[in-house]
Amino acid sequence: MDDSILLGGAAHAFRLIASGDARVYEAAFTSIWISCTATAFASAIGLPLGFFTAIGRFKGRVLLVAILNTLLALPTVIVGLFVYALIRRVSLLGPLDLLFSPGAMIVGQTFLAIPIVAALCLTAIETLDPAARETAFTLGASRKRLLLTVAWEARHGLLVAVAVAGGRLIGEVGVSMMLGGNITHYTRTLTTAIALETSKGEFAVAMAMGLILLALALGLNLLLRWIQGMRGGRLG
Amino acid sequence: MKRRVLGLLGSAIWLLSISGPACKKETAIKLATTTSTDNSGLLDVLLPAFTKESGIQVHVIAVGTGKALKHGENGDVDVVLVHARAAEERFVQDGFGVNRRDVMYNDFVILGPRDDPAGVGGMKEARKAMAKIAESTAYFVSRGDDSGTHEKEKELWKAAKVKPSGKWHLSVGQGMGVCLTVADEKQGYVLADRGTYLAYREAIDLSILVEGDPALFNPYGVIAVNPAKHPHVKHAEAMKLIEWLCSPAGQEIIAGFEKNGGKLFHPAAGR
Amino acid sequence: MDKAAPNTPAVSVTGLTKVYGNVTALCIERVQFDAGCVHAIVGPNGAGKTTLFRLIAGLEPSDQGDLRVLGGKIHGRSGEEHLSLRRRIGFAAQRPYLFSASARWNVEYPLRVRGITRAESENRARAAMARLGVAHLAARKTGTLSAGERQRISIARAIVTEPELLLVDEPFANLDPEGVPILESTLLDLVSSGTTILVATHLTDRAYRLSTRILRLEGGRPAPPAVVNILEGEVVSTNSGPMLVLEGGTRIHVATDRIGRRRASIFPEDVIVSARPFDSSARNILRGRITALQERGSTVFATVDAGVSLTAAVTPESCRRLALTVGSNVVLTFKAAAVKLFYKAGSVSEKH
Repeated sequence: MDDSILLGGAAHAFRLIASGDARVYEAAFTSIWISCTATAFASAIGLPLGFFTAIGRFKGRVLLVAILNTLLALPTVIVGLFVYALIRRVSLLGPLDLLFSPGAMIVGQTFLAIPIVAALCLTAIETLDPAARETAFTLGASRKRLLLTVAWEARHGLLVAVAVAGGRLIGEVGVSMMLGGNITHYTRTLTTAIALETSKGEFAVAMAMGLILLALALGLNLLLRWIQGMRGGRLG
Repeated sequence: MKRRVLGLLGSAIWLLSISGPACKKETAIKLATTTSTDNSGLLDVLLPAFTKESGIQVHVIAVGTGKALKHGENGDVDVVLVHARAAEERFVQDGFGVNRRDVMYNDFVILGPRDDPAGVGGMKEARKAMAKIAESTAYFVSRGDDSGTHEKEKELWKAAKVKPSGKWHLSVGQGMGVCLTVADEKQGYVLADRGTYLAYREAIDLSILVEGDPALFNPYGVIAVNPAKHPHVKHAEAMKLIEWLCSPAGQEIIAGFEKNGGKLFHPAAGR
Repeated sequence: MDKAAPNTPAVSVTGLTKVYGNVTALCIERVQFDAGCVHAIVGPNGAGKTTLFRLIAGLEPSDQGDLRVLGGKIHGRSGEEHLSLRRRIGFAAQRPYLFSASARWNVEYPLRVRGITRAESENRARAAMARLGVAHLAARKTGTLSAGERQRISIARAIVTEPELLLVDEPFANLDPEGVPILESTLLDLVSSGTTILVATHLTDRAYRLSTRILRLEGGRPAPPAVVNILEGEVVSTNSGPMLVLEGGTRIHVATDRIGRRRASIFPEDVIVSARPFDSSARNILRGRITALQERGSTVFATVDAGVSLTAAVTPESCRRLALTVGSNVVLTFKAAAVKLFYKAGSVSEKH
């Protein structure tokens, strides 16, 4: 790839972004809503999973922690394959007719993000000063209140877990391609569109989408920094 | 707690059910095709015309030929549009597909560096050119992904009586675009479909050395997934699409489609 | 001053042990902390003070033994009973953990978890903070507070529920100088309203200022208190200089120019035992009779009733040379400057 593609591509990219190119924005919108939804589901499952693994004292806990950390390294294609086997039309969830739909992508991305959310949540709770829990205990908190207080004290870490998962999902291509099928106006996200446009030799469009993806990732990271910079907020 | 979990599950199912079948208010069928077909842009012209006439949406899943047929075998899609004659026939024979029809064809070209170290420029028979490339020290870049193009490569090697192996044979395992880029960087030879080449023409420093041999023709077939094997497929709608593609209306659009200053496809129905 | 049922122990410990790994952190045969009093637990760092508090607060189970807190077993199954027992105890830790929110939110926390309304919580939290002189910090985020401020917020948080039993672990360690008298008077106020208070500190003089009930821990075991003659009386000005008039009427020369109620201590090593008076610059010469002799290490401690009970340290050789036995008549000699005076914290009188 020579410089003219890089620079000319970038220039064209900005023109496409500025002119509100439908392909680019449609893909960006699809990326955002699918990843956000999947992040929400993954958080709804992963946060409690990580939380109770961190505070629980049950048999097999060590194994569970090891599994969660192993799943972090799972290639997206494997997750895609797993979910594909689960939702293909002739399988268990086949009647829902999910394959090659946004729903399938959400299921796949949710599975992809659960270990991330859970493992980071686990770390956030485990690294929290044990004095937080003990203090709540000595101040007369009930068991339920104790857990809420621990979650509140670890809230920065939990938000980071969610944000990291969101970042991973929006830049994810394997599951989206495999389960979404990269269908125009339907399941085409920024990443699958980038893969497609690159394979077509449409480098400028790919670059434009890449820039939007970068901007989204940057925004997410700024949000993360802001969250981490926050100290001593109020209870909402 | 329990109630919350149930609520969560409920909303998950609700969301999946609206995001899945919601787009089926007007019937939608799934068409698996090859990346190169989708990349050509033909379907962007062809399918809206079909939808307009029939009210049937077509969701295109563009993958490699091998995978497109696999999706058909698994019943993941309702209809396939591919270009790999031998594999298509096997697909029908094995009972996965019914009603195979020729739709159109395009052609492959052999590309190589301008200085043509293997000296194949202008040769009329593709298999002889391939044999010569194998004899030379130049690289040959292979798709290596069981795509239609890869099938064609293998067919030509077989005709040339060459076993493609050795350092000169670079199996990339990726799409046509990547292969062209690799061939460009390595200044090697590559078999490409004309459409992708035209799209890449400006970006790469490779030229057409061999073309026009009927062995390089690349016929496209459309096949409905067998409803006897997968009762859930939308067979009637799939058949409507096949009929329409082979009708004068569909064939006319195919014949008229131009891209990057060249005609890419030639109608083939009824030939 | 009236004490709330002074003979009922608020905490009673029997055969209590706690082991971490192969280190015995705590091993107490029998100790009782009477209700309605201040008790000081002294000892060097690592002596087991914090471990004892953690056991009493229910943060950790003991390995063996019986621990009764406010009449109940603190280490039982968790449940409503356990919760309501926990809620009668206040605990201010040595290294206070403050929730990352506002200071006031922290002080309101123990009230809110007890289901007390927001408005009432707010009022009581404000009052508790005012008591410790930190009302102005209410809106501050805890991350911005100094160590001394954190300590005071933590104590306000521990007392805001008006607990029956208050555990304060090393409150003076991080406290700013202005905070010390505030804390002392707060603790003594609380005790006068019936609270039982346990204060752990490695600062012996702080302990003496707060209480005469002192448990000394060393290596996790109760140790005899470092022998110090603790006296209490009134410093008055006389013709022969300032004197401390003890409750039995005994008068002791002291070196101070301030009169009023004081507590005093005399190190046993500073008291000389002789058979007869001898000529010296020391101004305090008291006659008395030995009531007890105790050999500890290479020192013999002779307890002498000289109108007031005083302990003196003598070498075993001197003990033999003077033929000291229980009942021997001896003379005690010590300098006025050997009498260390300190203000008794607060104004509440306590009896040993």
